[in-house]
Amino acid sequence: MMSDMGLISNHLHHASRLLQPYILTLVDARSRGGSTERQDEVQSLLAVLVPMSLHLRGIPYFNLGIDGEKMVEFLRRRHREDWPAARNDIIALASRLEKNGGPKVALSRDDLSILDGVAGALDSVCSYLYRKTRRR
Amino acid sequence: MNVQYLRRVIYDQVDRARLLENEIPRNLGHAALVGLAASCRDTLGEQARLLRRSLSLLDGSGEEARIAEALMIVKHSSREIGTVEAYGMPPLHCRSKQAMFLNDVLSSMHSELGLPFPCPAVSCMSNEYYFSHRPTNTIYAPLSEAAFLLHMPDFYHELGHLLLDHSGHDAKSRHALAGAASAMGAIDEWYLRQAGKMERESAPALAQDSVKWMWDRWRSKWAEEAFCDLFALFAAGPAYAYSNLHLVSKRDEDMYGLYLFAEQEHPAGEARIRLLDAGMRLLGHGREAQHIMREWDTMSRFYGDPPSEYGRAFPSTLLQEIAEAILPALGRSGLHGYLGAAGAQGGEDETTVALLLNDAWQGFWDKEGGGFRRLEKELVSKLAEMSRCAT
Repeated sequence: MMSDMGLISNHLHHASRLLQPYILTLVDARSRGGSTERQDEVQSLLAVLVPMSLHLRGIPYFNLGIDGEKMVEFLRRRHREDWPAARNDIIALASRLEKNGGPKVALSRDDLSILDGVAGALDSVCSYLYRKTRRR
Repeated sequence: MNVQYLRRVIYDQVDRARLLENEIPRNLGHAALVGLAASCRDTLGEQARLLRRSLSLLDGSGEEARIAEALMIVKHSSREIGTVEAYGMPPLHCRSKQAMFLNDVLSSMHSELGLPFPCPAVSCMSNEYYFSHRPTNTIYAPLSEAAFLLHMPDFYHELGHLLLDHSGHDAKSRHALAGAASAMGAIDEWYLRQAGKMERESAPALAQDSVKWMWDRWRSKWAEEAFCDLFALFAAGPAYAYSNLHLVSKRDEDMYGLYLFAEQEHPAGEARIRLLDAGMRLLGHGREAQHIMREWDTMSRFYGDPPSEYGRAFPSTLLQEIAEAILPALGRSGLHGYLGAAGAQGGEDETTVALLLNDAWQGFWDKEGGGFRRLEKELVSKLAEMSRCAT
């Protein structure tokens, strides 16, 4: 019977594995003036955005990755004033990236700002879980 | 944030990663520990490189977004380095005879099952019963577990978590994942029906929300636990179900635990016993299932009634469907599950860890007084001998 500690550390592991390539894609895309170049870069963004978008639309998914509830909680904290618009922006960007299909995506300043917000929320989820693994 | 300060934080973290890397012992004497050491070294090296790379983000324009990116990398790397330090280093530094014995036992379990991922290392410094730590591929167990056998089947449950994590990378784990996905389908169907029914009947909002919460819990936490319980049953046979009964009897403060709208990580202990009962009957262990349910009936008289929503959270029909989805998929996976004494291919002399753990449980029920402890000590010695030879 696994203890809560095991489950929490596993959720942290999943969230962390999503966060690192996501941040690096953001760093590289910004260096290129806002564009992705490789398929794995687009995938690293979609791996976070798609479950996030499904969760925001109330569609359940097999959650072995990120904790959708916690992500939304942290996103809402970042967008206290404009949550409905921020929510729609994330759903729209996820859908656009999914439809794009190819490795090259041009990301506007607004797109990068949406992606920054999602990265911040995922980072907060990781910090939250990490604190729980160290509070013995 | 002051860029100079952030730069110093980065240098500090790089030094920390380097120090930990130098603290990784050599000549570890066990393949699983050698694997753990390599993965700790990889993580520390990767994070040191990432941190150095983040310095370049601070060299340019001083743009706010760049500083935010560097800060996020620092936080991420600090967590990764801290995780290696807290969970990867202890098994490498504390190689007591108990720890080495449990490493041998886990290696035997791992190879007998034919698991398709590297054998995890064991640390016997857990202060939270058994748990698997995926980031380091380590299983933590309490120190005294090396001297007793009744809870050792819990290692199989932890291996289930690691199998699920590995799923999709090879044919065996793809079968396992297909079973888990099929169980998820049964869960969705059940709760979609429940949610629809409540809506049609205009049930109070709180009741409707509680059903959504149960659905979410099954999806996000409980289904994985159910999978691992059934995997352990598949791998260890009735010994795992007995071990679960033993643990629930000794430790659960509330066997019907249902904490609506809280972050409940595990299904209720009572529901897990019913799940294992369904699983044992499917696997042909009906006699042992009857025995466990008899013991359980006696035990459950000392607890109150379940809360009113309990039946909706853990319905027997759903538990049965979950068992029916997962166990046949594991049967098709090519993993070597528990077949009982009749399944031993090398005749009467051949034994496996799973068989030995079932013998221990048989002895627990059959022997009076100190007889069981004497038997258990003999079996521990036999297990040590078997596992040493195997590794």
